[in-house]
Amino acid sequence: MNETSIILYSSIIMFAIGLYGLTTRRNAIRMLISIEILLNAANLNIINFAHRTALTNAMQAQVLVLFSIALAAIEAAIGIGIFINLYRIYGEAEIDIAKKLREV
Amino acid sequence: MLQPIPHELTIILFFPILSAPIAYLLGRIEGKYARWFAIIVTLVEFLLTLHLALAFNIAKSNELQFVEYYDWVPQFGIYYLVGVDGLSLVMVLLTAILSLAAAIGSNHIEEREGFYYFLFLLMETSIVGVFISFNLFLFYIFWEMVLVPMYFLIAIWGGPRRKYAAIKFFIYTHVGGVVMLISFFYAYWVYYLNTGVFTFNLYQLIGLEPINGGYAAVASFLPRDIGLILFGALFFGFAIKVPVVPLHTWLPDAHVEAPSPISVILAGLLLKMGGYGIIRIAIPMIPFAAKELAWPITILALINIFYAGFVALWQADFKRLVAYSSISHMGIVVLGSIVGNVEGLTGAIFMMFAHGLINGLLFLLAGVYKHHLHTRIIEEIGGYTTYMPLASAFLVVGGLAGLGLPGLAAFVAEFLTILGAFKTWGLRVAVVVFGPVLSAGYILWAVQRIVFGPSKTPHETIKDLCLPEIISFTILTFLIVLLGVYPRVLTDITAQFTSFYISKYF
Amino acid sequence: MFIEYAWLVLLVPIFLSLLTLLIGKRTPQEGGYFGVVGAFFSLILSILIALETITNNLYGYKSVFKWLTIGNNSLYFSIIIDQLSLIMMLIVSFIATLIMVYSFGYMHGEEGLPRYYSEMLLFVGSMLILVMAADFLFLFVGWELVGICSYLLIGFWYKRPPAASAAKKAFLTTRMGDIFMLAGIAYLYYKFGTLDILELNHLAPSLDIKILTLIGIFLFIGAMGKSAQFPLMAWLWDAMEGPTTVSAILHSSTMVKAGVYLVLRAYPIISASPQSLLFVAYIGSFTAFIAATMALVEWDIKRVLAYSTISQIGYMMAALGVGGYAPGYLHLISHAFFKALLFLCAGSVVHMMHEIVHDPWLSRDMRYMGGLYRPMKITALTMFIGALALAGIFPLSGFWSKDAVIEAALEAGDAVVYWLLVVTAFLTAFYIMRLWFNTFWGEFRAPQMLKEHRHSEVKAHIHESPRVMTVPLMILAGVSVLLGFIMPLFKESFAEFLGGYLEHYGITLEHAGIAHIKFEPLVSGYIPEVFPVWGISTIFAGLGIYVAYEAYATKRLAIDKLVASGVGKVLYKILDAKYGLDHLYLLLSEKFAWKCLARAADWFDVKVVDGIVNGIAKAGVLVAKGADMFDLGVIDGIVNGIGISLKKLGGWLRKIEVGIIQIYIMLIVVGAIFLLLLGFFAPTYFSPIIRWLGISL
Repeated sequence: MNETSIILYSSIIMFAIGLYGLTTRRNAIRMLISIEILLNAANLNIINFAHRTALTNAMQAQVLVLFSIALAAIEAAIGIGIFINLYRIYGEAEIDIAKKLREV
Repeated sequence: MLQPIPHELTIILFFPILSAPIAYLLGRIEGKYARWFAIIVTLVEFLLTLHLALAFNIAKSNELQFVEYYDWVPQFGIYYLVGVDGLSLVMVLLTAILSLAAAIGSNHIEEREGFYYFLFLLMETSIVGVFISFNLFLFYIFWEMVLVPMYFLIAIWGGPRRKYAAIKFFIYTHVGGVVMLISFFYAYWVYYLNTGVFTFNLYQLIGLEPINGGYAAVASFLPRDIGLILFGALFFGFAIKVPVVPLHTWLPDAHVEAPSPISVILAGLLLKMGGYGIIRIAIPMIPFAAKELAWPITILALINIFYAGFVALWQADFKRLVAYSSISHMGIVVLGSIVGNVEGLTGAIFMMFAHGLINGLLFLLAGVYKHHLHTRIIEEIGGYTTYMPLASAFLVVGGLAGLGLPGLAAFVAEFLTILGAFKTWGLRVAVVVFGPVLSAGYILWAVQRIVFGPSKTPHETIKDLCLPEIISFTILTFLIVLLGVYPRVLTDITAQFTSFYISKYF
Repeated sequence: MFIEYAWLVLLVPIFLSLLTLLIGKRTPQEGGYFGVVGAFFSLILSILIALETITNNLYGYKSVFKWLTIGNNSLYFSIIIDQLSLIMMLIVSFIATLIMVYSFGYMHGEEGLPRYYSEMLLFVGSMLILVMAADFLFLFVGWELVGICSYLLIGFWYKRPPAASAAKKAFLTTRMGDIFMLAGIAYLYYKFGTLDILELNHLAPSLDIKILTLIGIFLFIGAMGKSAQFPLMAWLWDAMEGPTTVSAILHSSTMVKAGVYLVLRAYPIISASPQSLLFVAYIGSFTAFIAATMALVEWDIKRVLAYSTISQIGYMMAALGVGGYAPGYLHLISHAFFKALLFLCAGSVVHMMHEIVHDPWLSRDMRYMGGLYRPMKITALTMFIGALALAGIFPLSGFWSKDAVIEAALEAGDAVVYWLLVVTAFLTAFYIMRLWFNTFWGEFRAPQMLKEHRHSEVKAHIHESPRVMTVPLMILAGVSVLLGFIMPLFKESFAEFLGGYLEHYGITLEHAGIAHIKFEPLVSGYIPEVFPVWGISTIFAGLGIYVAYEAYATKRLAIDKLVASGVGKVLYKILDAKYGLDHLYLLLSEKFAWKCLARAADWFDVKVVDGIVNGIAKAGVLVAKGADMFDLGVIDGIVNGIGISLKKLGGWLRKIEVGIIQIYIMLIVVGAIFLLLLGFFAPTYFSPIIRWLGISL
């Protein structure tokens, strides 16, 4: 078991944790946190493999990860904005409140 | 012999239909005006027809005269082709006379007169059109054009079961018309296939007029069985109109429910369209079929004469009795036209004319009885002879004419037809002589119950005939007697036509 | 030159008939004068023409009017003045004139007189057409026209139902006969292309004997109808419902003779076949007999005379059948006069009875008469003369003519014909004297009978009829007597005269005017050649008169007892029922033709034929309904179905829109995993997609 595989397994575990959190949590903030974990897991995996490959692509991978982190931050910010609105309207920040468009 | 007027035939043809809207408008002002206008129109039409007859060259009655020929849709062989020969002239004369008599006799139509006379004049044009068209497409147009006004005339001014009768009449005769049309198309197509020419002109189709320098008749292009079927189809179409038993059941209902002057037109003219069609179109188009089927058609004619006669005997409704007697007389027409000799054909044509006059008179009388006594049932009409002596006198004359008394028109027709039938079939048709006994039976019985017998006291004053009725009855009676005593008035017109016809097709 | 106006003989009465109808009401006697003038004119003109023809030997003068042309043929109305037609013209116009005058008295006060005289004139004209016709067409025209005049005149008193039925019965029965004649004529036309009688008389005998027999019989059936021979005779006694003047002219002296005239005219055709002759002779003699038997039990005075007419015409037909051409015509002439006489006398009596009894039937019933000799001497005496003439007593006309007939039968040698005629002579004498005795002998029975049967009292004021009526009676009686003197003297010349007509056709008349033809007796023998004919007939006639005298005058012979029981009663019943002929007519016309055939035809027409039409219409409606259902259900259903299924699909697809965000996330994840897995396990199909996805990502 070398470094790559350890980091790979950890990112998989992280991914799973994030996925689990995303799908099972009702609280919006928890879902956001799960999304962060998910994204970070993916980022970690990219860096992991970028570290092992040829140098010319490593640069691209690292730039990609930087983008990804920035995007994660942005998306988290927007998400928080939406959820604060949600909290304001409904009084709680549970996701399953927003089902007005549901075809019953 | 008078000088012909230019386009005389077209004038005679379209004059009524052009006057029709005026009649309608006059009717909107006052019903009576429409009636007077219509009488004037029919009178003018009659005078024009008379002029036509006097300008007609009798010696050449087998040729088309007063021909008018215009292109209409030449690519399909549809032309405006009208003309008169001996037969057509006789039929047009009958149309004019009966239209006049019926118009005069319409004095009891008291609602929506404008529309009534509009339809009436429309019909006069259509009927004349049938008799003078020699292009089959044009013929079909006029043939169908007759149906619509007749439908309305029955459906609006008719008796209690008028809706049923009108629809029955329309659909039944329309079926016949459609079958006829299909036959026309077939002949047209066969003609095209063999000559390369599209034409609906009758004389070209039957080979009397040259095409591309030669004569071609549809009959010559048809194998025997197809020819028989085509003749059968044409005959079927016309047979519904004649009517030939068993295709006749529209007639009693239509005649009975129609207002009396319209029954006059129905019995006097529409039935003749069928006979005319057989003589003019069916037989000349496929002569060999006519000759082969002559005996079965003779049997059909005999069935007409006897079956309808017996049914007439049982009728309690006077109008229905006269309707069945019409069917019986038309049997004589069919018989005369199929025996293939001059006597029979002259008899058939004469019967068409005579029967139109005679049954016209009888239907108008039925109308008088309906109006004055409020019933059509014979038992109820009887007993008022003392109060209606004139009507009774005309009834006796009409009845005697109907049973074929010599000196009155129908005798000539029956006698000639019997001679013709014997000439062709010998003693095989001997049973036809029992026809006059049967007709004497039902007519004399009806006359006995109406004219003879003890007087009944009426609930209200009963009036005898009024002047318009007297005029139309006298005209008809005069013609019936004239033709009975001096039939040459008619036979001279048709003489050339009949001899040419027989020599050509039989 | 008179002969050129021959057409006027028949045209003038017809024209006057129309005139009378239109303006008769305003003329004196309401058209009666027109009647007399018309008949008289024809009489004078006929006399003039006859004189001219005889002196200048213009027999066979023919005048032709082209009636219509058909192709190369033509049909004509043509008349001929010859031996046959001249005699009839004279008889018809003479008797008609007398009867018109008589009508002044008899029909006085009736309503509708212009109609009566108009119809009488039309009849005279039509009868003249019939006798003057030279072609079958014109003959048929006259034939039918006299039939219609008979119809109109019998039904003159139209308000009486029996009169109306009688008129219709007369016309229908005669028409039944006429149509056979028509068939015969049409067949002759078919074979020879002409309707001219004279030509056909030449041509027809060349036909095949079987056809010739048939045609002869057909023509004779027409004659049977008009002349009331068995079985077409039932109409004549009902025809007595008409005025007696009508009975006198139509149904005794002229119209009923038309059948005989036809046989006379077309003799070459009919006599060319022995079978036809046999038919004629047997029908004639048989009719003569049974008609006479029916007269034995009849109480209606006019009906007795009607049966007598039928019987005597039977004599004429029998004579013609066995070849007695001149005897037949001779009997026609003498019978015309004395029968007219008898009817007019009866009319005189009836007219008077009517004033007393007021019932049209009872006034004709002989049981109510009696003892009228004294108050009505002229009528009684003239009637006596007429009765003797009918019975055939020397020296009246009837004696000579009847004897001539029987002589012809004797010569021909057929036993049946001979004996029937001879026995009928007995019956004839009996019934006519029965009539006379019952009417004029004894006591006037009407008051008694009315009291018994009607409980009414009447004033019996019996008087003779006015001169207008009795003068014609005297004239006719005088003629009968006169003829009685002339006949024996001129029998030979008469035979020669008639022979002139038949000569053209190769038929010769022998000494007694009997034609040399091939009559073959059916039953020969049994004829006593011992006595002369006049002896036989006088014996039988005398016997008849004697029996009648004993039965009705002296009442020594109890006829009533005879018919009260046993064979007498049965015979009486049969005769009274007129052999069931009336029932037969009713059966055929009402039950069969009307109730059975007509009703069946009507039922068939309405239920079956029209039923089919209505059925087709109903089927059409069903088809339309089916089409409508098909259209709505199937086609429209498909359209709607598509709509509905799309809607359902939509609805089903909409289920994805759960609105629950976690589910969406799950779907995204599952979808992604799914695609990845696909990419691993089916890389060939999906790797391009993933690569594309990968590149776009």
